[in-house]
Amino acid sequence: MAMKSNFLKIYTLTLADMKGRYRNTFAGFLWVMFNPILMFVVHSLVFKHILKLDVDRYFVFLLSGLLPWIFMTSAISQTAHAFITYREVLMSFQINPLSLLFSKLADNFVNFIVPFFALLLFVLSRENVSVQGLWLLPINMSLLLAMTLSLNVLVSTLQVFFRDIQYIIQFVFNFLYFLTPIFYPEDMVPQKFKFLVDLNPFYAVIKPFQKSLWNYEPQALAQALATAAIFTAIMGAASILLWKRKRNELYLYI
Amino acid sequence: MSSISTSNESTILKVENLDITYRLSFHGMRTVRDVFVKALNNPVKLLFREKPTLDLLENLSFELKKGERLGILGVNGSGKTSLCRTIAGMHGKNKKIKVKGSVRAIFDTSIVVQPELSGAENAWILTNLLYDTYPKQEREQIIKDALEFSELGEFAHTPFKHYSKGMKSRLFLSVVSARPCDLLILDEVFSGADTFFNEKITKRVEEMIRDSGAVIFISHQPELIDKVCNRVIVLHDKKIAFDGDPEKAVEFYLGVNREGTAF
Repeated sequence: MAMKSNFLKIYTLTLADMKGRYRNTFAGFLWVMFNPILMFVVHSLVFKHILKLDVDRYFVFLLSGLLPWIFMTSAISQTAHAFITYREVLMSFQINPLSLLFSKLADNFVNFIVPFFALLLFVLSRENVSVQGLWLLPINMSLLLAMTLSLNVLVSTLQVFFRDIQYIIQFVFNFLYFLTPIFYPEDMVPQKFKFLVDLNPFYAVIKPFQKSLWNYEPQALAQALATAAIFTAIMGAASILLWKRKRNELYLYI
Repeated sequence: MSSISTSNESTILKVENLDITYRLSFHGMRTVRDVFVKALNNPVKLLFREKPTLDLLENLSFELKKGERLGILGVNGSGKTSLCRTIAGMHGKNKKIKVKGSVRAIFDTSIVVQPELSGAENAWILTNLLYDTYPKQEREQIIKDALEFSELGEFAHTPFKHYSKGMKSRLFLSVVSARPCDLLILDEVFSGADTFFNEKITKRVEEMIRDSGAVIFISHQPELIDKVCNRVIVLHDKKIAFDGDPEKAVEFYLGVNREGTAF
């Protein structure tokens, strides 16, 4: 019963958010589809055709790295301010603040999944994609969701106490965009800088997508999934710990 | 918050030795820069500093039985709202609070969930959030009744952002007061609605109060507390300073605070 009621709350908030955002817009949901597709096209144009990056099946590579990256960064940026934006709602009646984060995550996930599969259809018509890898997408997506949720909880809770977190994350995203192998392959990174990739929690959950769709190799994929699971578990534990310690104080600071 | 397992069937709420304390870990540090400056000045002091706490209530115990309408009186900052939020489970589970049945707690009546959406759509959101355990058909009926009761007419389909505070209160109170529950917590709910609607909604809220198992009612208006409640506690100096008859409680509350403010 509790699960059903929580699901109803998350569903309601997600739908309300989506309806609210697209009300009075010309193309509504199409804008959300448009942004990742445009980014995909621009990256293809710049790195494949202008800079002539020598990467086999570049569309598949880009799809498996860039789209999850866009999902993670937009979900975290949009959620960072959630507790403060919904202050009135949180202070007015019983609603678990985490329901808000879940609804924001669900909203962003819909915005990610639709262009992802639309682009996947386009890519399938032009380049080879591993069929076995496609079956592993639900596992990859689950890890991606869990990691993004953990980061959402960490960032939005800290944002309540330190109002400059939202600016810091933008700075971190700009920095990580170049340090995460999403538009260039991991093997292009020199050995001495490899640690930057290995310690990157974003790349930990993006790598299984690349290993599933772009260069499918069961052993490397299993290793990537194990690493992603470890990173997600650590981040999940950190977010639960922070949430449990700070939940009470939240109402004093929002 | 957990369910009551006492033999007393009429007990709806049991609070035992409850302390409400907030740890102010980041007190005086609102930005990362503040933390950075403090860390540079004296890193040892920052790490091993004694974290300040805000002790609102200490060792609070009381029970609420079916049919009781408990008023809470206390000056600003005495912990009335924090106590209600803790009972409502908004601060997470608390083993020192046991509740039998459903709890509905309302702390503001003019909130905006989605300003871009219409009043009717916001009524749908509020109904799904407040009556999440009700079947879909009943929730639809609640929305229909609330829209009719609020008398918003055509305004029900205009964006919520254009509503006045009074109109928001009308809609919110109409949704909130639609069904009774086992434990109802109301914090200053009568403020906001316009004079003409106030009479109508007061009657409906009073009906809901009467039909609910037990009620906790907060107001800064002693006369309203006296009218609605059949038992009142006065919070003073982190404790329950008075527990009993509403009329005597109001006298006690006014007396204590006159003494406190007499320089």
